[in-house]
Amino acid sequence: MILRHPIPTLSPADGLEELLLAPSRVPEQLDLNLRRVLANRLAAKAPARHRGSLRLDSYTILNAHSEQGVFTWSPRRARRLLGAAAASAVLEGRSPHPLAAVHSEVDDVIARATQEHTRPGSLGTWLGEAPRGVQAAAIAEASAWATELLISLSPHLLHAAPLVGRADPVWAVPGAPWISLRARRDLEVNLESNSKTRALLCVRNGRPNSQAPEDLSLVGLIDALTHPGVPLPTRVVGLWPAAGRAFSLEIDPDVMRSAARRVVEAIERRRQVSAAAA
Amino acid sequence: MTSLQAPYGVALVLTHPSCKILSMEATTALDLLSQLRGDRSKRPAIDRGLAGGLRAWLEDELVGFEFREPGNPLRLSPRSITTEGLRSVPGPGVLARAGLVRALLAQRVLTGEVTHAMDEALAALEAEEDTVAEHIHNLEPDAFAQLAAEVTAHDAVLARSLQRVPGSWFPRCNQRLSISLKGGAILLSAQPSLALGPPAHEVATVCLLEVTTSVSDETTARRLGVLALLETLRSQAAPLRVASLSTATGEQTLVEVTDKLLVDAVADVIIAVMRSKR
Repeated sequence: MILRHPIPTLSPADGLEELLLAPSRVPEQLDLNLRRVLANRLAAKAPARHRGSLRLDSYTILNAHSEQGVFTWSPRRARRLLGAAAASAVLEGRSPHPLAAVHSEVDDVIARATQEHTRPGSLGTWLGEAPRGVQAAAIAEASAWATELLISLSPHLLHAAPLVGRADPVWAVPGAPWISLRARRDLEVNLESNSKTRALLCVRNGRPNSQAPEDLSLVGLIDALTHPGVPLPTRVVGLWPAAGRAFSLEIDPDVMRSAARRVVEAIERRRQVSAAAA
Repeated sequence: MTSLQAPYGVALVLTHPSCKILSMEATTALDLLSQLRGDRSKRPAIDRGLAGGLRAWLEDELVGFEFREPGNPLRLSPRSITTEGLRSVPGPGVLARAGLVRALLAQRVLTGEVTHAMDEALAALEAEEDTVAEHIHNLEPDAFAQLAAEVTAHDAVLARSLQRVPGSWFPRCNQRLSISLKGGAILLSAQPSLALGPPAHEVATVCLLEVTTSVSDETTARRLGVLALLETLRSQAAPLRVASLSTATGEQTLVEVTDKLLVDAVADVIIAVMRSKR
């Protein structure tokens, strides 16, 4: 597992740029055999369908012992969705700064929920019905998130046209489509258009812990599973704004195999938890 | 956005004897945030080597410090560093008031309007399923009314002292700072109420504001120094200014960040760590 850290003499933004945009190695594809074997094992070990759908991301895979509760919106849970949309609006020149973009996004989400009658429990419905204090808290969380992301990017990185605010890639397991894996990555930048090489950036809370490299490897794996025929992401960079830390995990076939084993173990544990609960 | 109807129908007891802040003098008419930002043409150049030097100094002085228990770092905040004998966890009443005022600060500076201070702040805490919100709901009616009166009075100080912040100042409310030392054996953390300004490139640009519901005392300036140190270690650039606003008295403390302030803060951290070993 190759980890690269920022050059200490560079500013944090320049260090992040260097991590993300370093020249890519010879692009490699995801081993189709690995993809097939992973799908078979997950389908064989998945909790039964009648136990309900299971959507796993790198956090829930690495913390597979914890129970998934019923999801309810909160300002913190809404910050990434609103913040990423706002950051995208700023990068595309639709908003002058993150705060204006978040205000605009909140208004849009509420308007869509009203006009298009989105399902109960959607973000727009929740925000539309939320008291003013909750809306303000959601704006505070999302604008801080978007601002942290945008001010971490150097001017040169901004010229590389990074993609922000796109839906997370989701891979439904063939043979057990009630199980899906989601890659929580926040920014994608194309390194070379000819070879279609890419680098991914994941913004995380707190400070990096011992599981951080595995977190990044799982993002790389799930992203690769959802992009068949495209080279593996060259690297996945983690950014922890609260700690001022960043590092890059270079993706190679060994990293992919290790991440795949971790997914299988997590599904097995989920099945055991599910069986014990029954 | 929707407006909020006050759900509690609380009669605010503005003359309650415990609400000392109601009799205070009005704070200075000068807006605190404008003072924090200061004259843009007089900002000091940043020293890129300073943060690395301060960290190296801390690591050297704390050599030999070990984990008390594996996975259980020594956790220090600016307040615990500068206040000897501080109880590690304030009482639920103090936490409730602080949480409510923190929510109101975000609402004031990002949206510019607060209609029903207690209702709106409490809704923001409830949305995060905060245990403090549960404590508030369990209060007797008299105690609830007293807390509501206090919160309204604290909000009046916020309204007098702070303006709505333009988005071009890149406001971040309740940004978390988390710095680990000695390989994670010591964790320095803080959560300034408001951070302003983009990251520094050539001159210092970041300003931090701490809002406290307690009165200012002789440790306030030192606490701000530690806050500045944490931001310096996180971002590799010293902030421009740090300030504290006491919503109990309206008192404002504004500190220019200098090398001496940061050096004194390093000494405070070292002393606090040594104190913890006794």
